[in-house]
Amino acid sequence: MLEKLTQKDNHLSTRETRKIKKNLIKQLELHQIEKSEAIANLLVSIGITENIEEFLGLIKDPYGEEILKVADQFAKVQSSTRTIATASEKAAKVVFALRTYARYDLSEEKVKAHIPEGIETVLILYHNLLKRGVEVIKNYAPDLPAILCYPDELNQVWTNLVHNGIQAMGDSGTLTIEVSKQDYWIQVKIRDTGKGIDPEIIPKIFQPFFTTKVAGEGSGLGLNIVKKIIDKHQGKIEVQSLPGNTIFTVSLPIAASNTTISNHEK
Amino acid sequence: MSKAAILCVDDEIAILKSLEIELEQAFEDTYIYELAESADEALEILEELDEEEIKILIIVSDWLMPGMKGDEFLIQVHQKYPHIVKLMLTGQAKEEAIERAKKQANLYDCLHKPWTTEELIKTIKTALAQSLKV
Repeated sequence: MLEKLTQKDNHLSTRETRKIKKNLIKQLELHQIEKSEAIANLLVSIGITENIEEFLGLIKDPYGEEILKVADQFAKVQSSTRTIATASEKAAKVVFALRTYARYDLSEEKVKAHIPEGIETVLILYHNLLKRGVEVIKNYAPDLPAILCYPDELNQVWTNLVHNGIQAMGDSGTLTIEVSKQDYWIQVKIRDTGKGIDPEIIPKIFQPFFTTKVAGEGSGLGLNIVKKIIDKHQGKIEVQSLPGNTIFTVSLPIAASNTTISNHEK
Repeated sequence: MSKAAILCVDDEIAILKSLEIELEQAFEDTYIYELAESADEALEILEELDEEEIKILIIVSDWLMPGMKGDEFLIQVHQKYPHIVKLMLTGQAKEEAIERAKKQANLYDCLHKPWTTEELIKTIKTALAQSLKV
């Protein structure tokens, strides 16, 4: 039993647990055990989900329930410890993402960075918004080269595009993020299944103070900042939009930036 | 043997497990504790328990969950089971959602995460005492 108790690492869903419990109750009743429900609860909690035969002796013992209760206490200490560990891991992840996000490099020098890392940071920060019903599909090409860039500023680009995508979709939809290498460019495609952008306003979306939101809700600066940051990287941004399919494509040069840095070094 | 149940709904299993432990410590085997990871699953449980003629006394539900949100879920429950006491336990419910649940689901109270065992148990106890009086 101790073995079962300590190896219990599998996370059963509440649905599975209920099924197992019902099954156990039936088995216990077959063996004419009283308080089948309470015993089944204890067994599941300890991690005994099948083959109760080997524990029958114990269960039938006059002190059986007491012993199971003690074992359950041990099991609970263990699972609570695991919960604490997972929770602190999660908190650590968010703190890390915030620190990465908030760090602002003032040196004005480009550094080598992997684009998907910045995107991941932003996705961690948006985890709570995303889990409401947005499915995120990530498709990062393997072996993408790191490029010289301003990673903190690019994070703002990803934040804006991801945020806009989520807002366009309201409560549910699919956000697809693709990063690939196209000749001399790193190409990031952020696609949402939201309501789409009116073709008439597409030419205006990068203009400063242009917003479709209610006054006070948006600054109208988000996409303008995005455009400025991309220009600074000598990159390109393109939009295609149909209802249910809006794609922002950001292309960043892999090598162009090299020349600037080598000038620096000289 | 007719028993009464307390149903907890949250998309995070760690939260459910903690709630279960807190409830078990406070009420031992006075009640049955049921856990559901989504509103849909909770509705299933409600039906099952109904068939088994187990009475649900109180529901403790999260608000922000994938799929159906807490207020919507509690309103649905209220239409079918007005006698069940409804409690929300959430980190980030919108004010209007809480208001809606209060009006349309007769929400008893909304506790905010992080919660303490004392406030949770106290709220459940007073809620149950009140509902028994009615």
